[in-house]
Amino acid sequence: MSQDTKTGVAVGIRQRFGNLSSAVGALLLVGAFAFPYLPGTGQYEVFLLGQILAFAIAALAYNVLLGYTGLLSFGHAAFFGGSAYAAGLAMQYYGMTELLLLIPLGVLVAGTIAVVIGFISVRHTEVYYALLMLALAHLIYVLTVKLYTITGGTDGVAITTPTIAGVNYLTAWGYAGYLMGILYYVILLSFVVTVVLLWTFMHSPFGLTLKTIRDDPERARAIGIPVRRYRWYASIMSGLFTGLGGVMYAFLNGHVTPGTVLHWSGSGELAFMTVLGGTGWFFGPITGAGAFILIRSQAQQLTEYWHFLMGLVLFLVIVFEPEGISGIGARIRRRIQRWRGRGGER
Amino acid sequence: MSVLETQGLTKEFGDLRAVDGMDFEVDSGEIVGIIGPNGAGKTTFVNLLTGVLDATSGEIVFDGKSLQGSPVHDRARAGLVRSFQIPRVCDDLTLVENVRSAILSRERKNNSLFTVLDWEDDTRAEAVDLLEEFGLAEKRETEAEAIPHGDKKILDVCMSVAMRPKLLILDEPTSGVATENKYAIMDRLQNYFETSDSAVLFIEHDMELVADYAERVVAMDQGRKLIDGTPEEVLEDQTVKQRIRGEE
Repeated sequence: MSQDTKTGVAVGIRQRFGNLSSAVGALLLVGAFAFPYLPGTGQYEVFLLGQILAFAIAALAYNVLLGYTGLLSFGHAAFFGGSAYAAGLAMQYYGMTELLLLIPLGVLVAGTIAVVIGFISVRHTEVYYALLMLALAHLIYVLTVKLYTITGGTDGVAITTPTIAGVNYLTAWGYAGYLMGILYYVILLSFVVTVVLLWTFMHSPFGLTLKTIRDDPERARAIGIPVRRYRWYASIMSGLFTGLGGVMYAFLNGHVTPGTVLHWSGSGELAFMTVLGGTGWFFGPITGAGAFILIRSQAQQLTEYWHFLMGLVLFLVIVFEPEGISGIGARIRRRIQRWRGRGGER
Repeated sequence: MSVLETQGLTKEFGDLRAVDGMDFEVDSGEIVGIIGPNGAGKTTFVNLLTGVLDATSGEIVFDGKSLQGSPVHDRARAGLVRSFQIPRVCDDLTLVENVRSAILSRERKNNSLFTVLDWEDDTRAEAVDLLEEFGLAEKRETEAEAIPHGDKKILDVCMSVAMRPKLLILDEPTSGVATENKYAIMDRLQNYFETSDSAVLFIEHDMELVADYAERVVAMDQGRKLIDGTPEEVLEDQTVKQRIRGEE
């Protein structure tokens, strides 16, 4: 690649996001790569950030439907858990240990589930879509619990440590080395790839098509857009990337159960994260996933009634800032602009 | 040559025949006005043509092909495009994005995933030109929810025009617009009528507008075609005067 092209991309990014946002973004990215080596960072912190990144991938994917297509889904646990289970079962039954194969396998299984339940669900919209997704995803949950001879039932499946490009880093580096030196970077890289791809897709003609459908499906049909088909495509895209988040979570956690990854409340949590961060801004779900995981980890340490605290947070967000954290950000930006404006007049 | 032809087109809702055996045709490039009292079946007729409703019986032939079973979006892509009485635009999108969405659909580019719209400019340039033509260029980066009703009506038409229709159906293009602005809207449309080779079918309540802009007028009443002719013939017809214009 020539120097000119590289400069062109840098200029393009600065033009699109502004100097300040580009600088903050670059800083956060460098910070995330350096995170395991920062002073005071231990296994727990890296684990927590890894979890945030895995859920951020899924929440970004969730927002393809909620924020961009205008569809509320309560079935995303099927994609998240489906891919986690695919990896776990492939390890258990076929002795597949290679992470670089297990990731695409998980994503593919999540995509296949999305193709099927998406195809059925897009026949309906609004609350009917949400409930149909919920029902079909719950079917997968129930099957996983009942077919315990295959799936391990409520005990779930252990995700043994995978090899990465043929190397078993657990034996080579120990758990801390494996987590902080390689697994964390696999998750971070998946996150970066997700951000770049989904951002591009949502700013492409495909993304504009979804936004047109979200704003007015009848108008979309009147300009020749096959609405149902594009809702289906959006469901599949969302399912694929939610699956990527799910398989990352599985490797990080080392164990998955129907209750943690397939239960419908998991879909609710993804909806919560997305709304908390704000559906109207591409990067909103990332802040939502971060805030959710951090608040939950603190709340769990404070009280066994942490569910109550989470409920309170959701209540406050919906009542006082329906646009989520990104809404607060937008308000601050407007204040700064006004303040600058007044400075200019003086 | 006719671009649209209907034969015996009928739509029943229970006992009510909203459209009752309509035989109708529009020639390429022709500008036809449809008039009729409230409840005459005009909007139902349009909904049958665009595929929003399925006909109980009868046939629609568009551009030489039967539209039997063809969904709304296929008809739009084939060139049978409508605007809405209550403007339907995407409120959270800018004016350029609204028009561009139609252009991208026309070009079958909705599946394009790897083109970032910021960095691509041919469809954008076309959208800006179109907004310029309809007098909305200055507001092109404004979100549609922030523009006045009259502008939304024009934007709605603009999105339809962006499809390069063979037949453009305008459902009351000036309804809800202050009288003094009606001619402003119609003049912008007139400009389009003159420069494009699209046929136009417009439903209108304002008889003066119909007389000024239509080449042919069809009067409808109780789901049927009452009379079909030049604006002078139709508007001076005695039944039209009584039933539609409310004259004694």
